[in-house]
Amino acid sequence: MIAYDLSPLFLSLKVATISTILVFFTSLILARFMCRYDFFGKSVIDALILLPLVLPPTVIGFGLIVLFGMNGPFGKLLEDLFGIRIVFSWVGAAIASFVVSLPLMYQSVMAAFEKVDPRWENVARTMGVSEWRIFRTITFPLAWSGILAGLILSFARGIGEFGATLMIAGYIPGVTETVPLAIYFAYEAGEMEKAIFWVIVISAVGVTAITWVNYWRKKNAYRIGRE
Amino acid sequence: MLNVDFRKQLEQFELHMQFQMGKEIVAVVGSSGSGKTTLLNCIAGIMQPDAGGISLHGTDFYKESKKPLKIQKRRVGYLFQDYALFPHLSVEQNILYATSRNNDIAHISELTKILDISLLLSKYPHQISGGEKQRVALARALAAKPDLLLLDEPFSALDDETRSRCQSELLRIHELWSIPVILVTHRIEDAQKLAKRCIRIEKGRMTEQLQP
Amino acid sequence: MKNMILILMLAVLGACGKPSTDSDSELVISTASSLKEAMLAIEVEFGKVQPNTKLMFNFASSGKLRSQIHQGAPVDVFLSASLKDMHVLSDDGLIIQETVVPFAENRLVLASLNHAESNDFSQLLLSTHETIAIGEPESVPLGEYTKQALDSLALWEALKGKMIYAKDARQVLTYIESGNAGLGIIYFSDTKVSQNIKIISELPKSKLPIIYPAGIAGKSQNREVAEAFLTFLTGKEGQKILEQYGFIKVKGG
Repeated sequence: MIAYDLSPLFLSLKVATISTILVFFTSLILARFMCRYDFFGKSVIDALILLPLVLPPTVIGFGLIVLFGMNGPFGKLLEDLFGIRIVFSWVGAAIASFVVSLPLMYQSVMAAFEKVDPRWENVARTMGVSEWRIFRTITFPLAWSGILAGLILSFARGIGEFGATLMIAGYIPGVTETVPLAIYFAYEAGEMEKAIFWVIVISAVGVTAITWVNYWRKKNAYRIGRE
Repeated sequence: MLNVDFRKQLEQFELHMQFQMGKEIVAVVGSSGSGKTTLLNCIAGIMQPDAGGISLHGTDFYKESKKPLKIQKRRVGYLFQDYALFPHLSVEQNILYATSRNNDIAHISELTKILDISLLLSKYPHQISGGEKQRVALARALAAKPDLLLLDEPFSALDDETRSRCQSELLRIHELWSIPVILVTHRIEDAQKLAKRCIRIEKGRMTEQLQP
Repeated sequence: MKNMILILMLAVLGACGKPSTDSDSELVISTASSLKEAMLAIEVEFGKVQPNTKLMFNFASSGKLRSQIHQGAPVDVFLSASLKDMHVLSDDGLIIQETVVPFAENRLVLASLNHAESNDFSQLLLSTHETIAIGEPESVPLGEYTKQALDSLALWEALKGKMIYAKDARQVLTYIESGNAGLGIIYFSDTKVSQNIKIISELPKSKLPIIYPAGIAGKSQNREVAEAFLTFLTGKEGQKILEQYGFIKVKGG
């Protein structure tokens, strides 16, 4: 077996982890807000969040370049204020992953929240417990298995993101070379062995994640039980 | 003193409730879909009436054109029809859910004794029977020392023997705590056994009668 | 009604399967992306000589085009930016060896949107904080040439992590033009395509010259037309257009 530089794997894990953490908090806040409040234009915001699900990755990549490119409004702002560069950096890859996995997580969290019987929250309210504590101790734990499924989906989507990532983060070996990019460029260069190596690695990561979730869910379902 | 006088439009009819009560047990009877649970929900704050007012001991829960009092501030104990125990918490965690660590929980220990659930504390809701759930849910509703207790069909899922035992426990607790209790039931016998007053609702309209 | 549908179907089938005749032929030309504008100009001129031939260009990096031909893409002519990709195909018999002919040369320049001219090429690259766009060195000839040039200056290792790899020569240009990469190494001919791009300095000539070879695919059904196209390309008119677009005339071509 030829030894390959493993940096694409670590970069992919880093990008997917960071984007999943961001997606986790963002979608919790969004879903809670959207569940609890009715306002004008709500369905438009809902559609905007879900839009990346139906758009081709190239459109997302294009949009990100326009917004975060060196001459884009956010790109300029971030560079001027903090010296952060989005385009052609791993941060760009994380943003691309974030945008494409947010709708998956948002949908999972919405579905998970809707499954939590409002009577439980109402009982807790009559007991004088604050909304925030109800969320932490009732809503969130009871929605957790659905949220976890969303997290895994988001992580997998983040690790697998290619099209938008290639456009915003480009291909800088060792810096923005995630596993999907490594596979693509290995194939392009005719390095089939290298491509196969990475295909096996990424498949192993996927299988591990799925197995772990299934195991965890079974264990958890047993522990929580049902009323 | 609980003051109830409100209107709320439901799908089939308008619910119009008007009554006052002190520290007694009042039974609310009527066929299903007559608006009984809506009454409890409006008092608890889960739903809001369209017009009128609800107040307890001079505190406005709801008053037309004012912001309704938050559920959390109403100090109402509410026993839901199928108990709604938190499935991921043990019996003990369910009962102590609203109490913080340094709270005095002497009254709760007493409750668990009266209700005979001391042995269930470490179990989870899916591991206990219907009668046990009912008693746990009652203990939980009383744990925060509410000023008003709302019971929605508390005995409907119980067999005769358990029912009569639970009923005598309720009477005992009411004697000790002497707070207003509204008991919603579709069984006239329950009402007769427990309550001095009985309110009958049909299609949103109420008629009140004293027990014979 | 049934007959109508039948006739309609036959008509559609007929339209699809129309055999190409001498008077109306199509030439599929896989073309290195750096040749794009020059080839579109040549298409116009060639159309005047051979009005019945339609040229269909497929632009990509030579490495990608090479692997497409390997996988059986229906190509008549291959215009490569590197001898290596052409040789791989002619060795495998996918390009007819005798038809391979060089038709242009090119050179490398360091370019940007706003940098001033500079002679100290190495120092500029080493000290910059900008991203440097280059062609992907394995599949894009521009990248391969760039790597050779930087290697010979002992800069390659030092610049790793600063260099963004593009999928073909044209993407390098896009990276620089959009301002997303501050610097880039491109062909001299690319600078003729974009008005905004400025040449900072020319790269030192590497040992291997940058030669563009053309060749006819073994599977081509239009060999005669393909030969006519290559003759045009290497002839006076073709060379003139290539020169206008910044390519260098091939010696003895």
